[in-house]
Amino acid sequence: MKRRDFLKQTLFLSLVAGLTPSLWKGINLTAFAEELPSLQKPLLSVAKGTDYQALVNMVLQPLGGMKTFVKAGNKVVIKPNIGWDRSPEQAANTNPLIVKGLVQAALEAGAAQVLIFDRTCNNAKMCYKNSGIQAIVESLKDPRAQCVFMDDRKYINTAIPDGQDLKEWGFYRDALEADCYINVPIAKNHGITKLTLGLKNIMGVIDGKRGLLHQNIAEKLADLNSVLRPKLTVIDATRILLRNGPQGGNLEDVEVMNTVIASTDPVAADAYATTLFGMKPSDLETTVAAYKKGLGEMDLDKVKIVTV
Amino acid sequence: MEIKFWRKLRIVSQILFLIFFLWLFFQTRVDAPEPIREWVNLFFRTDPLIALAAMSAGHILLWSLWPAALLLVVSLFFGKFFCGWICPLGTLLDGTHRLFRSWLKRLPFFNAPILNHQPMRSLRVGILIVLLISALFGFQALIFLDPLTLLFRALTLFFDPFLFDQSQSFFTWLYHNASPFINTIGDALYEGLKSSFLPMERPIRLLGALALGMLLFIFLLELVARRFWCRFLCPLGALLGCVARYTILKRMPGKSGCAGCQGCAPNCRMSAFDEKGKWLSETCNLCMDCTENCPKGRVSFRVKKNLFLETVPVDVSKRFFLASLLTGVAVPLLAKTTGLGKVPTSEDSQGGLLRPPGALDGNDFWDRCIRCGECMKVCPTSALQPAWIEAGYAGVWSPRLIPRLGYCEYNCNACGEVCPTGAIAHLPIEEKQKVIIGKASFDKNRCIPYATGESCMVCEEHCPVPSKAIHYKEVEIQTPAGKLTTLRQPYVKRGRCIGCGICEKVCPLEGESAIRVHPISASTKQG
Repeated sequence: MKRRDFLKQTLFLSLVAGLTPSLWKGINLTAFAEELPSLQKPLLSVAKGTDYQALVNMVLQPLGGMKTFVKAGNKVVIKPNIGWDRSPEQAANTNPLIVKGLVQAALEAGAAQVLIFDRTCNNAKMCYKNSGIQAIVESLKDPRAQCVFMDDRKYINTAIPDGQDLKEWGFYRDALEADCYINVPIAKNHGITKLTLGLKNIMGVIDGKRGLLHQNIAEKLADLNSVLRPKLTVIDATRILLRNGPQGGNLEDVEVMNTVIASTDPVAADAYATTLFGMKPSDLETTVAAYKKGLGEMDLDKVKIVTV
Repeated sequence: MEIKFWRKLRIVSQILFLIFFLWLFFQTRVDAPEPIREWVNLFFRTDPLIALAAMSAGHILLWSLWPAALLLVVSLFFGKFFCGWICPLGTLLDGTHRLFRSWLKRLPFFNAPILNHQPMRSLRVGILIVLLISALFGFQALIFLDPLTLLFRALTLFFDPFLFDQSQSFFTWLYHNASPFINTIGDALYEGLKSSFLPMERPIRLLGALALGMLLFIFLLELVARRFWCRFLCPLGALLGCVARYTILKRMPGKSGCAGCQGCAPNCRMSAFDEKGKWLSETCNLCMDCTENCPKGRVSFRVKKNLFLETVPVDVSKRFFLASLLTGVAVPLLAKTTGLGKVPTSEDSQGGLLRPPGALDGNDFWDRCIRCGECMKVCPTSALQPAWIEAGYAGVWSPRLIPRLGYCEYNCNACGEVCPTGAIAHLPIEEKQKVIIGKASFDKNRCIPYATGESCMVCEEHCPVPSKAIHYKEVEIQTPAGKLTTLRQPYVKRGRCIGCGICEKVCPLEGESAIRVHPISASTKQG
């Protein structure tokens, strides 16, 4: 009698065990996993449109709006690309309207201070002026928002604990000490790294002879990015520079894409932006090196992409 | 009007014009507002010595120098008021005299009587003649003796970097040592200074010590006699003196030495009286000191009743005049024969030096350049530096472009904008961007992608030509470790290169850059 019962029980349990996988397929496990933060896919938001300033708020919406990143009383740093003495149409610097949109959003979220700066390659005063960024920040007439020139006294020699190529480098104090650091590059062609996107934009907040970083640059950028990790990366792809980057000059090299990308994952942002140029994320050594260092996800299948 | 009022007015005028000169100096920058930028070189355009020298060497009428003609005409009527009321160097000399007045009494050689006699008193006229005749015969370099250029060069080449260094040291010390509250004020002050007086970055300026030394030497001469430079050396003063002889102003009394009093001549800062005590209008700079110092109040200046120009005998002997003329002819001959620089030169060459964009060709550039230093001050990237004798004596103090120190900013044409004589033409930006300053070429023995097989191409990154003058080839190479890898190796597209030099500037190698810009010869376009 006991053996029959035992066999009955085993058979029944095996049946249940056999059937449950099919039952499991019915249950939406992905939705379940989303509840658990550790199993969450990084979120990438893409917005397209011609009202560039409005695009900023549109692209931040799926991420929870600027208030997810900026709390009342925060010191915010918005780091656009102001590196070159070029006009907005030439797509060498971040579009001033995108910068304006971000500054306004940060102010509305209650920021106590919003600093905008970049360590330019050409003469700083000319870059700040001709990029249109200095004028547009000043037009807000809000004393909390300041487009400032970088102060050479404010670099701090910072150790890079996981540095494979670089062990230490000088970082700008205001960038390190920001409560919320927002990286706003423009997507462009680049002779050395093929493209320059979010990860490379960190070049604008570091000290020293930057020319020395261009040997084995992908690894060095990964090291630098492991120190200063932005809360938010917004890639300006309203106009992209297809050739002769990173400063271009020829309007024929510019393609109007009317797109803005935003993500908390800098590697995912770069990976997606790469596709706008008809390339694969793995084509960029910078992206691969950053991914290998654990700075983010480069496989777009593992990223949740929301198009607004 | 009280005659003493004029003396006080003169002092105010001196101070105001000095401040004006210094203010224009600090406004010589690319971010100065539009209307000011046109006028920063005003003093040089008002300088008749510069006008004459530039026009005679360049064999051309320069209409932009009309203020100089105006000054000459006004000096014809009102004498050498420029020297006493306007000249910033004169003001500085007067100022230092006041400081050292008490010490000077102890110097036995101070204001020795021999200085009042010939040939000392004709010396500056001799210098003037040598300067102008040399210029006429194609040697402009002596124009460095113009007082305004002397002062401006010392300010640009020495004081500008000096002020920057000192303020940076101070504010950096403050930043690391002072309390946050003090630093808030300090930061605002530092920022304010950088947007007005100080350059954004530390300017690199060669020959600073030499420029300062020349200026200090002039101040040192004050120990020998008051306004020594003005009385014996200044060619501008000599020129103004030539027309001031015909002034409609008359000094009452016309001689020094009333009965029982020899007060005027010994106390005159310019010693504007000859051996017989007669007042010399070509020397007097109208400082009005004698009007205040006269114990009887007899001294005054009036307008002559008879305004017709009377022949005034020249105070220079024929022999001296002839000697000066011959020296003026000899100087260019000597200089051109003996003063060859490090590289062989031909008539139309640049002497192996790179020039600012828009500079005239060949020797015309050195003929027209009056060595003021405006272009070097305004250059935002420290690209323009004064030449020494690298290309021979003819080019001394003229600007040359040294890319390793500073590149030529693509969207900038400031040097042409501030040049008073057009030695550097004021080209519109689009035209300036097409001027060939030189051509870049690689030293493949040192360039990293060629020499060590590592990636670089910082030069290509910075090339501002929209279609890029540096391109690259993708080559497969074997690393020293034996691994096969693809590498981008840069090369220059010579036809597109404008020689701005940013590639040479940013090359990360220590010492000389692996990509260098060389001048091309204007006639053959070969370099």
